Amino acid sequence: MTPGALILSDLAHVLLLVTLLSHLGRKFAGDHLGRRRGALIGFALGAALSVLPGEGNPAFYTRAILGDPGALGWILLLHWLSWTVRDRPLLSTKELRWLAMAALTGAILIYPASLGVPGAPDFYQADFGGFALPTAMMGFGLICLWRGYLAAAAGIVFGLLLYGLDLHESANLWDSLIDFPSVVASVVILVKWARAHQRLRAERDRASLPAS
Amino acid sequence: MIGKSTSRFGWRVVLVLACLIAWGVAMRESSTRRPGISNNKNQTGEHSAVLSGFEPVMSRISVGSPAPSVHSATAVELPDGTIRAYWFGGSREGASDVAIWGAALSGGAWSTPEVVVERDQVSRGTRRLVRKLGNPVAYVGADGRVTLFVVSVSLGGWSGSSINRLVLDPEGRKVVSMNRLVASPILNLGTLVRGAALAGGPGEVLLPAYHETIKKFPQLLRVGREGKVLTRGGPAVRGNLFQPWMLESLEAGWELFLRRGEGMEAKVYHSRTEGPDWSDPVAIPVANPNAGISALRLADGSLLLAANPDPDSRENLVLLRAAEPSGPWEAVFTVDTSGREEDEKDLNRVEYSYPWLMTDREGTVHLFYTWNRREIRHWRIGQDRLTVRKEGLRE
Repeated sequence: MTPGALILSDLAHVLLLVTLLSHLGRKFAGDHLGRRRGALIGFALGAALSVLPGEGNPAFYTRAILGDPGALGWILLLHWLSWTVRDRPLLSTKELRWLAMAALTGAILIYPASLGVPGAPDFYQADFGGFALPTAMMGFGLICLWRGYLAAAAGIVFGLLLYGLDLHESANLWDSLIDFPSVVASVVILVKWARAHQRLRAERDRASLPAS
Repeated sequence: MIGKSTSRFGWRVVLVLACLIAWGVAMRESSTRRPGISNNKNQTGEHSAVLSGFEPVMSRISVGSPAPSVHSATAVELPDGTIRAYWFGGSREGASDVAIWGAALSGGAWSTPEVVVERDQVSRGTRRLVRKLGNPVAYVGADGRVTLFVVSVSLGGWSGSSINRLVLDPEGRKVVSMNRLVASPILNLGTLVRGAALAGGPGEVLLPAYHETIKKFPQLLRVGREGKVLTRGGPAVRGNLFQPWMLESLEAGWELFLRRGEGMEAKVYHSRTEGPDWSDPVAIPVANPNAGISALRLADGSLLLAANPDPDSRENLVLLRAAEPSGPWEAVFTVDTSGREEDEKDLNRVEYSYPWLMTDREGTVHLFYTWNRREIRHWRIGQDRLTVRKEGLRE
């Protein structure tokens, strides 16, 4: 791995840890200390643990299980951290949903062949050195900008740079864009949205019924 | 209000430019990548040269008490003619004390086996927890350096495996650098190696790997000079076909021998490249009990396959020879069947498994295999001796 890739890998796992601990701090210490202060304590604890050497560093374990995140993983973690620590989400609900749908589409394209489903086209293989996905991502980034999704567009630029500047442990553009935990998070985001949408529709239907 | 919208417009312009620059950078990187595995053919087509008239000779490699259980040998010939063998050994397969061991054959004698790399070392080198080590596959590049591709597990069983690339010193004894290969987008789990690696493009290696998280299937990887997977490919398979052995075809392209997993079906399959695609794997008339195989092309272009010929045991190991994959396959050498040895009598189950075939520069065939999980054994056989059935002779 290049030195840049090593540094980004370390930063990604620091981000993962501080985000998780900030969330836990906000949730469990929030009642006594205030939610924001709880989150900041979690953040500080995460940052302190991240400098531990070798096997004492939580990144030693998270890297073993999750590998290095793609751009979507970075964006989702930054969004979660911003929401937890600053009470201000990085992405709007629509932007989040838009990214989640894009991630799910990507997963549907690349996961079946990676699990050996017979006859499934291997889009993952196609983008070890393909020209289609970088171009499609540039188009997607421009659409994001047109729709006003600046953070999403920045994420796509970041993903293309991870790949183009050899800053990711994988040489495949798909891995620089999406990762398995982010795809799982995307599914959760979409399921939550679908449920909320369904509930809202049911309430609207109930409200529109004539009173008996 | 105006200031905020101007700033947002400014950001949009910056991001449009960034998007175009990032696209350019990504396209430049893509243009450095090489075509798929089946499109590429860099080897010369010359098969290992002359015939030689050795009587079959067996050597034993035993690692003794530090590693009572050994398995999965791999071997290469170094530029100075030394044969180096590697295998994994520890208290039992999958234990945390399993290490990769190595020994050298020079001047007709094997050196004392020594640890080449331990689990902790792979953990530190890849900066992540590694719980156990598995199959090694050795490869010597054009620069004479040995690269070991070693299976490791961080989470779960063998289906949670990943492959590590270890570059060794010029003597092939110590690890100089290592990195993790990323071969799957799903947590990079389930990819293993067993078959011999071949030369790809300059500085590149064709690694016949396989996947076994949910289903077993072959996955041929092209590994670049920097130790990253550049392409993956292989035949689409139905059923559990894995542990591919890749050979250069007599015509252009490549062919694969595959082991079949559980079930009552035939146990050895063959596939070959047809232009950019792979043919559907077809069963070949070789009995095998869901056990590891090894394949080699001999100097006259014929094929040599090491397999356990009984459909339900690993008690015998034979070398089979055929002109074509479709057969007929003739047993030309049987290993260790002239009665059980004294030190096998305490065993409930006899097992000769995981063969590894290679030829050296003189054309001598080397067969390595696991002997009852206790020893790695080695035979040297001249190619001209592999014409009629021969019983193995003990040294």
